[in-house]
Amino acid sequence: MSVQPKPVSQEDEAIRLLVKNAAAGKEDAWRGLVDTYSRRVFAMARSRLHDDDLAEEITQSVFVTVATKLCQDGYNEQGRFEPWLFRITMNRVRDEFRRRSRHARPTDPSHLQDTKVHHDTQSTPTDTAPLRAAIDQLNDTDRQIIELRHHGQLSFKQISDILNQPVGTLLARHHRALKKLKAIMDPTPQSESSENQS
Amino acid sequence: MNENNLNHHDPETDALIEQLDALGSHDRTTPDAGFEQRLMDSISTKIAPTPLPIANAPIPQPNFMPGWKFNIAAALLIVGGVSLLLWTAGNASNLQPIQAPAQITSVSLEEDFDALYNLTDFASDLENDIDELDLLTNEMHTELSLPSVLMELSNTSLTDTSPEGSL
Repeated sequence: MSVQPKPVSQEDEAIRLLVKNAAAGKEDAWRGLVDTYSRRVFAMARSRLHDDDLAEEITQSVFVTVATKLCQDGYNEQGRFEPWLFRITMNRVRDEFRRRSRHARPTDPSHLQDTKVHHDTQSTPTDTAPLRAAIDQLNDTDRQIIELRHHGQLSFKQISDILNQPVGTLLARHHRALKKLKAIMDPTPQSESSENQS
Repeated sequence: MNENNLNHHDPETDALIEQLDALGSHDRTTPDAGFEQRLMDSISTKIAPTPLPIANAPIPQPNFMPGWKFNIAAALLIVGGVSLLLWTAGNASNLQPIQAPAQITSVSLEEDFDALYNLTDFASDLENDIDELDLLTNEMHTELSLPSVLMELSNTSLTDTSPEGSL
């Protein structure tokens, strides 16, 4: 039985070419990669660290690592760029989060929330603070799925490549994480709310 | 099925998915317009084209011989040099004395003396000629002195009968 090669989408082919040219040191290709991925990487770091400057620093660090590896080792056709990039991002964010947690002083949560509300209301009409606070309460795995999906704009297939989990499992975990978020944001029991509606 | 839109369609969580998408979009648009350029600047040193291999090639170092080899080579060189010197000195007696430069010198001196001598002769002859000319000039000057000339002229005009000579 012959194994049929997986059909390569036009988007995948464009990314493959971009990465290949980037590995050859072409600046245009790097600009393309930066335009495509940098804000998605930033958003993931920003979501976890709640700090714009630190998120930008992490983003720069991730791209410096990618540039160093690509230009030194060249582009491996078999390697998938996106999972690699976001795995580096996740590891870098996790390391930074742990580092900060070790050095963090106990802070009044209400003060933290006030700060975030002030920042977010400057640019968005809706209040994002409760949602951010709810995400902060998720466990690491659920949070990763939520952030890779909604901040990194990755498909479940791509997330499955990054986390080495089947797509079905990820779908189920994503749905469960959504339920948790909803429960955190709206602690009113389901039955109680349905009674109020009736 | 589009994998990017693969979600559980649960009416209870649809609104939450929209909120999460909006939050992600907000975080992606948080950086200012110079964000990408700052990023490019930070990686520019890493993406510079790799230098030509020649630039990285190790500079060939002179391969010095080991000590014992160097000593043998130096001894051979000295022995060879000394042998050549001795051989040259031994053959020196067979060589004809070089007299050509002395002959050339004497010939040249003689020629020079001859030339000088001729030149002196020429000068003395020339001097004699000049003296003779000077003498003749003086004589002519004496003969053509004014009184005598006038005398001769007056005599000539009185005795002249030719048609061209009449005033």
